[in-house]
Amino acid sequence: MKRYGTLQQKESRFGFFLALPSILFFLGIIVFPVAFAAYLSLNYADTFHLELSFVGLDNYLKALFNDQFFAQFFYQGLVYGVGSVILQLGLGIGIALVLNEEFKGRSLVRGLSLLPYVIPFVIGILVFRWLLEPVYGFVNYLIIFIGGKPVAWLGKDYIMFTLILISVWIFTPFVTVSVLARLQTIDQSLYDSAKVDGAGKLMRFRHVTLPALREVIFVVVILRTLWMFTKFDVPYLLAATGGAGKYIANLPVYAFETTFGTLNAGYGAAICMILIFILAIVVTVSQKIYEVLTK
Amino acid sequence: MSMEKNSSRRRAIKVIGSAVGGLVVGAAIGYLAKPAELIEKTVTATITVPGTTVTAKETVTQTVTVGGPTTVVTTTPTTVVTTPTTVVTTPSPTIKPGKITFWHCESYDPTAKAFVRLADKFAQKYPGSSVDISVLAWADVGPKIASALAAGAPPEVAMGTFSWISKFADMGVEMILDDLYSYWGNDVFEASADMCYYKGHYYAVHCTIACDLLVVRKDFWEQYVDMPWPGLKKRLSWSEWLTALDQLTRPDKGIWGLDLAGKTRYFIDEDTWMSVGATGGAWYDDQGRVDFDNDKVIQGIEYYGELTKHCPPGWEGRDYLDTFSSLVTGRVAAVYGWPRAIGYIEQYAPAEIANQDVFGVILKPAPPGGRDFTQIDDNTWHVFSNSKNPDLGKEWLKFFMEPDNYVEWCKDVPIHLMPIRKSALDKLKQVRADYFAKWGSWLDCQQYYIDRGAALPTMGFRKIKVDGGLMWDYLLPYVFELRESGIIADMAMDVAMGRKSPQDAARDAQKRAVELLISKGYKDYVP
Repeated sequence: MKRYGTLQQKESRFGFFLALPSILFFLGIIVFPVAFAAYLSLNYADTFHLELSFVGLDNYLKALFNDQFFAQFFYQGLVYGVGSVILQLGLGIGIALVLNEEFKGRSLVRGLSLLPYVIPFVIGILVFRWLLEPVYGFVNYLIIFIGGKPVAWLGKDYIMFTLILISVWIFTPFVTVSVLARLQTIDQSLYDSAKVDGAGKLMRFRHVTLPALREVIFVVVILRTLWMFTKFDVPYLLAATGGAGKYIANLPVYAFETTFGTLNAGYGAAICMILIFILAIVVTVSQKIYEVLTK
Repeated sequence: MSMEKNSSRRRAIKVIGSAVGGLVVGAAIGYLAKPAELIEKTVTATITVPGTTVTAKETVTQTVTVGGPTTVVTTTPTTVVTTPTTVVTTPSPTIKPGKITFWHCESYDPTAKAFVRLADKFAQKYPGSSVDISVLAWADVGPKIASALAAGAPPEVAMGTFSWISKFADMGVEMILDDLYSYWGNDVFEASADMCYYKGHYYAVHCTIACDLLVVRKDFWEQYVDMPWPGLKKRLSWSEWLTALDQLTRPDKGIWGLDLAGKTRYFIDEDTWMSVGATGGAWYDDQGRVDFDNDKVIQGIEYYGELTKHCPPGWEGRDYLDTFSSLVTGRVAAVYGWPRAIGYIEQYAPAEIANQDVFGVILKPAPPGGRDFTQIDDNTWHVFSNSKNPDLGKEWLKFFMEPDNYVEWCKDVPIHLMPIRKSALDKLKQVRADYFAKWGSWLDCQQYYIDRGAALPTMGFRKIKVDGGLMWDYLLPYVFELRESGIIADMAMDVAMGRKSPQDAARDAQKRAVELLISKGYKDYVP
């Protein structure tokens, strides 16, 4: 008995053994890549060879103070992230409120509202590219048909607008579903009591619905912000990195280009680490703000 | 009860632990204990050509360390076959069966399907072998091969570009294909073979000998331009061409003079390179050092900027195929395009205009003192020596390039996918005689460039002296990185988008290129 310790210790060991696969999985899939990226970021690393030479913080200093593209792509990522999250949130909550009401065909509309999120992104983006094609696209065809002037949707002046538009179309259903799920769990008696107290629709929304949605909105804002700031596929598929792509490229696209274009994996890793650092600050600050607001 | 449970758990843990430990130890011992196998074989092949019999003998010594990463292959060809039109019927050396991963970028359905048919045929000929085909977008090949090589798992064979040759040969991962070229003899067009020659060896294989063309709507030209149709008789000057574009650009009618693919860096690079090439200049100096801020490059990118003023709004976000959609639907008057566009024209343009009398070709304009200059098809097959089955990969390439098989692939896009093997080209011209007659001027235009040595791989301008010998400049060791870096496209788009003057854009490109080369260890190529 002594050899194996107390029963509690034995149970703990067995529990640890059972958890070991998950721990190893976590270490291998999450901790190791991030740690390796952090290590890479301190080196010059050619993507082909991965022969490392230590450069300390040079990659970080270059990105922050001596790179003509870093600030531009960070700013573009900010515009894209903030712009699309605000619109997704506004539209998503609005649609969820509508879908929470009783009306004929509600189930069908609920199903359809999810459609953009279900369609593979690449297909959605290609369809939008076709619709918004400046020369022979359907949208410009309609604009010309009604007497308007065609718009260069994929040109440098409109490409950010187009990117946000497409992203809002694709990702709003996520907000809708999350908010709708919470709306359906709000106790009806709260509304009834508010009605008895003389609260109108607007007051009921403000004093019953919104407070109930606070947690879910917070989670949705955090998640969507993180995801939009790290979004690679949508900007890359929409405009790649040639002409117009330069006007919507964000830090993830830049990290990819640096790693697989310029073949500088070390610098690409540094860009990723800066992105992680920025997002960690965003999450921490948001958490604090939320705590203050909900006290 | 609890004691029993604990005892049973311990036993289970012990059994699992022992099994896992045993597996790990066993695998390690097996890995270390297996000796290297030495395979030595002599292959004698008899090649019969009309009136001649040549015996080619080659000794292949292959040391394979099983389980380890090292594969050393020494090939000693003793005879180089130089007689024309070889008809080879001898069996290939015995190749170990296996799986080949094969990447290509042929998205056109008939040619993609031809690969599948040929892969099946290959599997029949080589029992136990198979070809696993992946189709990639052109813009994705560079990053994909970079990540595959970094992971040490490249495909056996991939479609790439000429600029891969020096990069991968210097890395020691590009397979030498001298024996393949010996086997083909001079059935291969010399120009194509020469383009794959680097530091004394043949590396990749040129896919086809097509040339990039300037396609112009002849009907629009006759309607709007007050110059006679130049066709292939006269090369316009840049100023004449810009004047013609002014006249062809009719926004009130929804027609623009020219369309360029501005979305993808790859195409911006090509168009910029062709503009600079037409001046007679280059972005490498005579010693192969990077040289962007010279007058010819500035002249070239300024011209590129002028061209873009005749493109439809939003061209910078449009792709290569979009330019052809614009052409066939009559929204633009001209595009730079590959002859494979004929398929697009035949598919989407009204039948009554889908011919060379409407979709004509003219010689690419050049400035005074400039030269004929265009791009030869930049697609090349590469065999990676650090892949799992490189010999089988080479065998697949050899099989694929046999005239019957090669033509099977080429026949659906006959004026673009023109074989680099003379016998295959002759065969193709017989098989698709109708097509060659219908689009004869497109063929003639390509012939014009090839005859003058004016069709070069992207990033190439001329041969330069390196280590006492002549070498194509696109094989300079840093060209792959330079191309992938985006510096060229940024330089061109800085001018086209009005962000910088041509002088500033060229200066900035030079600065970035120098930084890039220094960071990559190419200090010798920095001025």
